Amino acid sequence: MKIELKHLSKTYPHGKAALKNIDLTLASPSLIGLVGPNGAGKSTLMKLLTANLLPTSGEILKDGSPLIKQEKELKSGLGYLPQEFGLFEDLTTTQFLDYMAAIKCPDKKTAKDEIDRVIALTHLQDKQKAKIRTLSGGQKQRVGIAQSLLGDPELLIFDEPTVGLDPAERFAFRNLFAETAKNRLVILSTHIIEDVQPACDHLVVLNGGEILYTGTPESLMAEKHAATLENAYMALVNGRASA
Amino acid sequence: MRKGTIFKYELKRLFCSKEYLLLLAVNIVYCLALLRGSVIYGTGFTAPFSQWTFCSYLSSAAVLLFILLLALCARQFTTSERRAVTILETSSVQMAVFRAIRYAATACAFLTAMGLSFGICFVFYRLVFDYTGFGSLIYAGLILLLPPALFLFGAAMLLGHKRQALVYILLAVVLILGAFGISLPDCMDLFGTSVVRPLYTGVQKFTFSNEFLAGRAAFTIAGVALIIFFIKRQRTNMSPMIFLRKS
Ligand SMILES: Nc1ncnc2c1ncn2[C@@H]1O[C@H](COP(=O)(O)OP(=O)(O)OP(=O)(O)O)[C@@H](O)[C@H]1O
Ligand SMILES: [Mg+2]
Repeated sequence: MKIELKHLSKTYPHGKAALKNIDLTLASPSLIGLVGPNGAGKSTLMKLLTANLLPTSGEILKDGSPLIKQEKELKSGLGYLPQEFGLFEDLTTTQFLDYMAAIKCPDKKTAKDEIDRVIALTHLQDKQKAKIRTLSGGQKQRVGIAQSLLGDPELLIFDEPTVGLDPAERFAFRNLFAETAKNRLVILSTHIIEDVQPACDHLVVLNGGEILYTGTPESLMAEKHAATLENAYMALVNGRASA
Repeated sequence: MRKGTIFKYELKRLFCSKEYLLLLAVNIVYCLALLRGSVIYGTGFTAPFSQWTFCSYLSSAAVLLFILLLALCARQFTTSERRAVTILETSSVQMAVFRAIRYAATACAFLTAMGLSFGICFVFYRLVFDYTGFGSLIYAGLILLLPPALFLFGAAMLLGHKRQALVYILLAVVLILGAFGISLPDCMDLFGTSVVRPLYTGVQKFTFSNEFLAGRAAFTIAGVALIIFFIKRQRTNMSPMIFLRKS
């Protein structure tokens, strides 16, 4: 799969420009880390990619044709975790996943297998029968990730998926994302630079609605003569030539 | 999309919710109190099982029934519900179908409560008066309750899409109108309290006034139009811009 963003801009009604003339090509298989300060436009970009929002100008092409014309195809192969998401809190973890699987899986048997698979991937085995209302923040985050993995979508978009996870879980999810991205396109936004370096093969840095950098994490470190990606990122965002 | 599974969960979520069960219990208790306190004496010297008495009973029960309906509608607009629906909007689900399923589940929950109000009264008629001619009562009861219920449902969708708090304001308005017995013109008579008025002017044969029936028709049309609008609107959560771009 190949997604091309061409001269993409988004200005919210009565708001300022959240994205300004973005040109970017994303192709599978790849794990793309989207980083940038608060308000950089990461979530906006993700909403545009999921056809949740429409661009003010410019366009998004999926495999060469406009995304808007293939909304249905896009959505049937998409797993998305919004930054602020809600769950049906009165259902148990399994019931919620069964609800979502009713949308994403064609029959009961496939749904059951998929639910077992994503529960194992997100380590929710002991919370299967717990009401979502009773889960901790990090556990809810894992239910959110689990629902996006249902149906094994070809495009996965996670908006700050590791927020609220403990270090062991963050480590596990980094590996999960890297593993998933071996034959898919996975895009994740994060503020945690350590999440990007070991896992992502591609880094996109946004600031003030513009792309500051796109390339591998290693080449950014080399470019900024930095020992860590965090230092290189800080130098980039602060406009310094080297860390 | 397996519609049956989604419908099953939507029903479960409504029927097992504390607020529904609580309001249903209050409604049943209130209906029983009405039967013992007023229905048994009949309305305006008519039989307890006359259409006049039955309509009078239903117009008293309507206040709680409509509050229950609005409380069910308000549930759809909590922050966590809205955010969960955002996830659904990015899935391949047809939002119009999803909305229709949700509305159908809400309708089932309301109709169950309404059916119980009818049923309790019918059991009472059967046990106390051995009366079983329910056909004309059901007909009058449906005309009395269904049109305003459709209208309130549509209005709740309209307001809830703007802000959840507006549904609660509508609920408060219904509560105030009901609790203080504020009388509205026949054509806007939500609870149907005006139905029995002719009885006190000497009319014996039960009929609905033309103005009342016109109001019921208007409630139905407005309610159905709003419901269809909101079912369809969800089909394109990106509308109306999408149409502009495609054209
Ligand atoms: N619905 C909205 N209406 C108006 N402006 C908005 C809206 N959503 C976002 N913005 C603005 O668009 C800009 C980009 O927001 P966005 O949420 O994409 O940032 P972000 O990079 O995801 O930030 P964060 O790291 O805090 O999540 C911000 O300046 C924000 O104020
Ligand atoms: Mg964001």
